[in-house]
Amino acid sequence: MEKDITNWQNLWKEEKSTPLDLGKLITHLNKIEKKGKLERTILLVAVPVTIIVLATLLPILSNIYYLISILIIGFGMIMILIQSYRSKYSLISYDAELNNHKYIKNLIHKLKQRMLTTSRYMWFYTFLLVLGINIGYIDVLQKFNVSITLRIIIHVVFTVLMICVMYYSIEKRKKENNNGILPLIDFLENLN
Amino acid sequence: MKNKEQKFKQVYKHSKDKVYRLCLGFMGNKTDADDLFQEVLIKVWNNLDTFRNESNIDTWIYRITTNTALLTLNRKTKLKKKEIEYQPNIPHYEIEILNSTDKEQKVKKLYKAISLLKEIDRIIIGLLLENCSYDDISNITGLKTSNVGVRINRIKKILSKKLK
Repeated sequence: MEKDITNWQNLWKEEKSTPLDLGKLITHLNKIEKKGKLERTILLVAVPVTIIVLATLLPILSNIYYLISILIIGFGMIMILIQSYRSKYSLISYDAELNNHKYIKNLIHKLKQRMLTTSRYMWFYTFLLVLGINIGYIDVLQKFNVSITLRIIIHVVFTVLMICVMYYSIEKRKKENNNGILPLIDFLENLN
Repeated sequence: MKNKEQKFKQVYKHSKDKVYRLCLGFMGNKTDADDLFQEVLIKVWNNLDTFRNESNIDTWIYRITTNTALLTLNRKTKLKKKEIEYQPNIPHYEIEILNSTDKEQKVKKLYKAISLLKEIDRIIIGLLLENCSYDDISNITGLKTSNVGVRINRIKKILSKKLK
């Protein structure tokens, strides 16, 4: 058997990599790195910038309804962004630190987090979004002097519409996950 | 940045053939092995800051290679399934085996046999053929050293049968 191994080792080492243009490769890698950094920076800067712009453009500070509305929606957006960031980017840095077993376990955990973002956190976000916009509408509808019954109807119709739109988009996302992420989780679990 | 480029060049020079062989053993054909090799190089670049000179470069790069291979294989398998729906896909190596010398045929047969093993077994035998110790293999795969020994014996038997 030992003779076999030596023989296989000799055959194994016959294969060599094809020479690469290292200069070209490094330029390409630098480009990818810069692009990745830019994407992450945009993601991190987008939320505070949006909040600052809204605070500057809208008279939210003078109106308690607008202020609460923006705070609730902003909280929901930050929650989703943190969740997406945790399941996407933190995956990158563990390739060299984890052994195969831990890497697979970590990967399965991250993929499940991504599924959870759609199934749980997106619904929580929907609730915050509907609540926030409805609170904002209280003041808007007050200005139009409409009856309380009509106001309630508008709130209900708006709420139902928002839930329908979000339901459709969450279900679409869930389907994509079921086709892409579930088989990958299944594959990885069978490796362990 | 220049320091990073220098470090990358050193790692590349030291490990390119070892990494490529692991990729080829894992994927079983040169096209997929080349793709995986490039993906590993990107990850090496991304992880270069985490590499400390005092740690073992082989263990470091083997972890990147094998982790990337495990993740890539699923994607490749799915793509292959789609390709098969349109046309029969003859593995690259089978065509090449027909047009090569005796030694080349033996090399290709070995790689092909390895690529037909279970995913973790491909990694274990690849690392063993790269002269890694049982402890190193245990360190890279996360399996217990005793389990590595048991698996290696089983792999040897399977390969001996296939290559006779």
